[in-house]
Amino acid sequence: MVKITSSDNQEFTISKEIANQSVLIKNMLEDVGESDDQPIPLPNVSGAILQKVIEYATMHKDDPPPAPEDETKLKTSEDIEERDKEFMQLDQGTMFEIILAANYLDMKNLLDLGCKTVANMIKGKSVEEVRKLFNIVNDFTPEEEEQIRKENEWCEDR
Amino acid sequence: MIPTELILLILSWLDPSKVMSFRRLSSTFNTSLVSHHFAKLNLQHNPYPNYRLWFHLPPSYQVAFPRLPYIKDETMIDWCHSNLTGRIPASIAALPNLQLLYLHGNRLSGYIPPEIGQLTGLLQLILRRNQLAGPIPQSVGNLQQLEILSLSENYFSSNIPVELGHLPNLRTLQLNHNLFEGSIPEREIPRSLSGLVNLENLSLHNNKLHGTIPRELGDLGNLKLLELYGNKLTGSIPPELGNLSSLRRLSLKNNMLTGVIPEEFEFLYELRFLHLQHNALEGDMSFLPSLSNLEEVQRMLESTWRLWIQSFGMGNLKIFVIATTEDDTSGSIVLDAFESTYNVGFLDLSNNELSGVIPSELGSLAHLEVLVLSNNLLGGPIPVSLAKLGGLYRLVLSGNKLEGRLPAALGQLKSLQQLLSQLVILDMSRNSLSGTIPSELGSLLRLSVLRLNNNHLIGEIPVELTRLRGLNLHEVLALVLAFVVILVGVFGFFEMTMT
Repeated sequence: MVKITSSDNQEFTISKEIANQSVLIKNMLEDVGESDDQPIPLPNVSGAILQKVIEYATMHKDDPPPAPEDETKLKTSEDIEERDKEFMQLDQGTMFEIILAANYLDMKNLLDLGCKTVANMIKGKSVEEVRKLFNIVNDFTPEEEEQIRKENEWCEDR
Repeated sequence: MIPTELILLILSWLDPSKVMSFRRLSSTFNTSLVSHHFAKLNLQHNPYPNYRLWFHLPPSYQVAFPRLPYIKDETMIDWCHSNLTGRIPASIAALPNLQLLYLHGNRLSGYIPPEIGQLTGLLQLILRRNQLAGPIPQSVGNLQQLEILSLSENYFSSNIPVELGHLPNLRTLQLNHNLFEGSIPEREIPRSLSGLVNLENLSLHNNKLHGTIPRELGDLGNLKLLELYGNKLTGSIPPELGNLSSLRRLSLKNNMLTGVIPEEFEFLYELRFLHLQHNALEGDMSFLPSLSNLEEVQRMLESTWRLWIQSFGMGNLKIFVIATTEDDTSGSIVLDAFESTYNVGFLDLSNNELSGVIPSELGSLAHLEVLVLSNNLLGGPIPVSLAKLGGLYRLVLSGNKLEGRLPAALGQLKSLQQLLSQLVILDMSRNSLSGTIPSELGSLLRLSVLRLNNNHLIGEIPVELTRLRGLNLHEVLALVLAFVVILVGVFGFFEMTMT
C-alpha cells in the first residue's frame, strides 16, 4: 500500500496498482524504494480533487495495458467510454482542477479524458466565450484581429 | 487557472477548421496554433479531417497532411467537382503512390506547385476547369509515366514549356482555353515530340499561340485529334499533317493561316471532322473524295475557287459549310452523282460568288435539313425538285439573281404527303422573282419566317397565308387587309415587299 497526502494534508492509502497509474508517483516510489512508508506529499492537489482522481484510478485499475497498436489507433474527442462520461459530470471548476491534477500527476488517460471533455464543451463556443472561459486577454488591435479573421474566412463563414 | 500549454492540449482535440478560428484568441495562440508541433498533435487527434482543409490550412498542417493514415497510401485522389477553393498544396507531392490526380471542375487558384514533379508515378493529372494561373512548371517534364495531362480552361500563361515534349507515354495533352503565348515550340518540342509516339489527343485551341504549325506534328502517328483553332497561327498548313493517318478530328479554324490546303490530306482516311474556316486558305479540296468517313467539313471559301460537291463516296457527310465574307470569290456549284452525298444534312454555301443555276439534283439530297445558298450570284429559276426535300426546315436562297415564278409545288399536297412539310424558315428575299405569291404556300403549316421582300412579285396576298399559325397573326391579318401594299415586317420575322 502507498500513502499520499494532499495540499490540505489529507492522507490517502491506496494500492500500488492504483498509485502506479500516476507516472509521477510511480517514479517517486522507485526513487525512495519499497521500504519507505513515509507518505508522498502532493502539494499541488487538494484532498477533494485527489479523492476524485483516486476514484478514476480505481475505476480503471483492471484495464488491460494498452496494446502496442493502440498507440497508433486513432482516437478522437468523440471516443469516450460511458463510465468516463459519467465520471466527468462535474462543475467546470472541478473539471479544470482535475485536468491540472492529471497533468501534474502525469496520468495520460485522465488528462486526455479531461481535455476531450472540455474540447467537446467549447466546440460550439465563440472566440469571445472561450477567452472568458480560460481568462485569455485579447492583445490584438482591432486591425490585427480583422486581418486574422480575413485569413480565416474559409473556415469561419460557414 | 489553466496554463496555456493545457489550453493548447484541449484545443488539439477540436477539428482543425475550428482550431483555426481560435487563432484570434490572442497573439500567443495565433502563433502556437500554426506551429508544427501543434499541427501534428491536432491531426493526431483528428485523423480524418475533411480533405478540403488541405487546400487552406497553414503550411505546418500541409506538411502533416500527406502522412495521415487515410491518405498516405492513396493511388488516386478524385476530388473533381467538389467546390474546392484555395491553392494546390505543394505537399501533395509527398504522396509516394499517387497515380491519378483529379482536381478538375473546382475553383482552385494560384500556381501548380513545382513539387508536382516529384510524383513520378503519376499517370493522369487532370486540373481542367479551375482558376489556376502562371506558367506550367518545368518539373512536369519529370512525370515520365504521365499519360493524360489536362490543364485546359484555366488562366495558364507564358510559353508552353519545352519539357512537355519529354513525356514518352503521353496520350492526351489538353492545354486549350488558356492564355498561352508564343509559338508551338518549333525546334525543341518537335524533336522530342517525335518521341511522343503515343500521343492521341493534342488540344491547344483557344490560346494566343502564334508562329507556324510545326511540320514535326506530322510525326505523331497515333494522333486522333488535333485542335489548334482559335489561335494566331500563320503560314501554311504543313503537308506533313497528311501523315496523320489515324486523325479523326482536325480543327485549324480561326487562325491566320494562308496558302493552299495540302493535297496530302487525301491520306487522312479516318478523318470525321475537318474545320478550316476563318483563315485565308486556298485550294479546291479535291482530296475530299478520298475521305470516305468524313462527317463534317467547314471552311471558308477564298479567292478564286471552284466548288466541287461531287460523288466522292462521301457517304457519311452530314454537315458541309463553305462560306466566306470575302469579296473576291467566284465559282459555281458543280453537283454530280448525288447518290453518295445522300447523307448531307446541312449545306451552307452562302456568301460566295457562286454563279450559274441551282442544280436540280439538290432535290435528291433526301436528308437535307438546312439549305443555305444566300448571297451568291445564282440565277435562273428555283428548281421545282427542291419540293422533294421532305425534311427541309430551313431554305434560304436570298440575295441572289433568281428569276421566274415561285414554284407552286413548294406548297403543294401530293397524295396525302405534304411536301416541305417541315419548312420553318423560307427566305427568298432580294432576288428577281416575278409573278404572284402561290396560294399553296398557305399549306406550309410550320412556317414561321417567310421573307419574299425585294422581288418583283405582283398581285394579291393569298388569303390562305392566314392558315399559317406560326406566323404572327396580326401581321398576316394586316397583310390581308392591306391588300396590295408594301409591308416591312415590324418584328423582323415577317417581311414581304411587293413591287
